[in-house]
Amino acid sequence: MVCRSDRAKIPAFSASGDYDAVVIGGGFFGCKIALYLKEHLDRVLIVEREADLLQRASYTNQARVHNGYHYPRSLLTALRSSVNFPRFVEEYRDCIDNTFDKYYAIARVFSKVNASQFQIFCQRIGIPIEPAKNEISSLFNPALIEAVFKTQEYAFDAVKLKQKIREELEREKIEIWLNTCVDKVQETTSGKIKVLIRETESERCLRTRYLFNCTYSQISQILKASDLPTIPLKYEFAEMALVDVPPELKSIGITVMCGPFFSLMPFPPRGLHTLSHVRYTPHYYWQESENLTIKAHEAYSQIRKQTNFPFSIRDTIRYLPIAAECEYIDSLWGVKTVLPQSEVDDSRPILFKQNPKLPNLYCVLGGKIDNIYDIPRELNGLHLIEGV
Amino acid sequence: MERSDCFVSVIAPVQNDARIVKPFVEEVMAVLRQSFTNYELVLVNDGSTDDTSVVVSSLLRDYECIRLISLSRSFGADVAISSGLDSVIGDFVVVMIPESDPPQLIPELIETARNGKDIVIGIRRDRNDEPVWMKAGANLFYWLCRKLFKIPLIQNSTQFRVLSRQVVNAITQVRDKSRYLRLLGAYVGYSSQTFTYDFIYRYRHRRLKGVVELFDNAVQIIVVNSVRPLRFASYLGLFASILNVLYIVYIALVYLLKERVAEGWITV
Ligand SMILES: Cc1cc2nc3c(=O)[nH]c(=O)nc-3n(C[C@H](O)[C@H](O)[C@H](O)COP(=O)(O)OP(=O)(O)OC[C@H]3O[C@@H](n4cnc5c(N)ncnc54)[C@H](O)[C@@H]3O)c2cc1C
Repeated sequence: MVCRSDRAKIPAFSASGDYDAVVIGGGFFGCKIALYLKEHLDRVLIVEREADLLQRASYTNQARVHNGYHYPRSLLTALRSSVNFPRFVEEYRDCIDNTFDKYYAIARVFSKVNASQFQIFCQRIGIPIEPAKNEISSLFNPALIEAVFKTQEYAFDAVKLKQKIREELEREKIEIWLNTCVDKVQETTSGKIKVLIRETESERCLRTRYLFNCTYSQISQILKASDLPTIPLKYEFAEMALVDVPPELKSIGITVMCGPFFSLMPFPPRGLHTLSHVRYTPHYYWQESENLTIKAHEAYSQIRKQTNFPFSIRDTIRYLPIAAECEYIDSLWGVKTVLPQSEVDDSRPILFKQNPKLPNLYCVLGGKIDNIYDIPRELNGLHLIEGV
Repeated sequence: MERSDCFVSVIAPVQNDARIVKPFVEEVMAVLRQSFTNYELVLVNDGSTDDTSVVVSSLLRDYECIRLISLSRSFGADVAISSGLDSVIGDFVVVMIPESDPPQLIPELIETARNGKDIVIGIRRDRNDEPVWMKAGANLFYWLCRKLFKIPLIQNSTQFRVLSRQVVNAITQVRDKSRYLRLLGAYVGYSSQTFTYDFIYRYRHRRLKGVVELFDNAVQIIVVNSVRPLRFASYLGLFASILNVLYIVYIALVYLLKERVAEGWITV
């Protein structure tokens, strides 16, 4: 294996191709982790496959800054979200859309909570809840919706988030390689980790002391290619329809609880709403096991992307007749990656895992954006050491 | 054939149908795929005690757009169908019984519905497969409904039917515990049409309902859908009261007019 670390792409100040830490994946988690690492380490690099940062899960999601409402069946998760919410809103004030009203509606049939349970739950964890005004609740079909509540929940703008984070990265002089895909990683005799990068006709590599695999749906793929112990994850091939809503719905977001229902959330980067539906957003599910990994990215590019909008909108109209006036624009597609339950206890709702065979390799996966606040504690426990 | 651009939902209640559910699903899906751009099949497991749910679970993996609703116990086909109605999303909804209703008729029935009939109701051509007592019972039942209780039940109508979205919405507004859907359809007041068809037999021997179940069913339909039984009860009560009053008068007269009445006869 020839290491050609002198390629033009590698900036001068790390001409050796040696780093203190390399982060694979320039999503929200990878970027934030690089920033945390930079507080302790000198040379930190982000390697991102796409042409820009925050293009995958950090962009193709429901943009919901969770405040707890979503989790009436897990008090701890709800409480934790409600604690992170003000922090996130404060830190990313410029990237938050709080100009809309957020309503939670409770379905009569097939719902796992009823209106009074939901209300008590919100009061118990101390998040704002009040009955919606008549002009809003009258938009819903009373035969199917028991009650509508006004709540406090915001949306984040992934494009503004990207800009803000890019500025931070620049300020901290963190190196970023875009359009660069990591193939696999290897242990070296010097105790460092070699990172192999796929290029059209050749391979390139660099060396690092610490390596962070923050590739979300690709975490297992890289481990597998490197012959390292994998983490069995669950995946959902997800579609969210982007719709232009009628004027009555322009400045509101709606989520129907708690079961096979829908959510109509503002999607700030496009000035549209995403329509997601518990039954129709996931097109496929798959689950890895110890010896079976699935190439999520290849699956993603091969799967026929035929929209489920005709399904999700019809169900939505039953609950919210005015949704009949929604115009379908296009869809966001992505592979949602779900933490294996065995790796999560409620006190640590993220995956932060040291590789048993390669101790300086860590895999990090956050189930939702605000889980970022659970990362520093994990990093502080590492006692990172600098030096080559 | 050109696929017609509408969304069709099929609801089928299944109960201990492990043996026939697979061929049923195969046929329905073939018809739906061929005829419509969007469709779904909702199977409602009405408390089966055989492997129906196991068979259906494997079918869920093999076909797109199939859903399963499982009821906690057996509630009967009407409740199973109405919980399907609570969940389907189609522009037109076909209700059918896997054992007896032919999926091949679906496109034609949907066509009828699309041409402006909100309810298209299936009628079985004959009851030749039933024993004499059952036919007689059915005839008596329909006669009673028509003549005595004034319930607008169509003779030999089955569950096989098509409902438009408007009708489904109207039916799901009715929050009545005992829903006899064949009638609810008639009550919500939309334009309807019937069609006559022959049962198919997926079981070699048709599974007939027990006498008790049928009788129970009949009583329920009558009691829930007609005020007449209540009236009859009232009249009966009134009649009995009048008899009583007459009897009291008679006793009083006996006491006043007769001279030798046995001791205690009046006060007993
Ligand atoms: C449909 C959906 C809806 C969601 N809704 C919400 C919500 O409403 N609220 C919320 O808080 N969270 C939501 N989430 C979860 C949230 O999106 C994620 O928790 C978060 O974005 C994860 O960030 P990340 O940086 O780990 O992943 P990503 O943003 O996907 O970053 C991983 C990066 O790794 C790169 N990469 C992959 N493989 C390689 C490789 N071999 N070499 C180099 N780079 C590579 C990718 O290109 C990508 O940029 C949702 C997720 C999905 C999918």
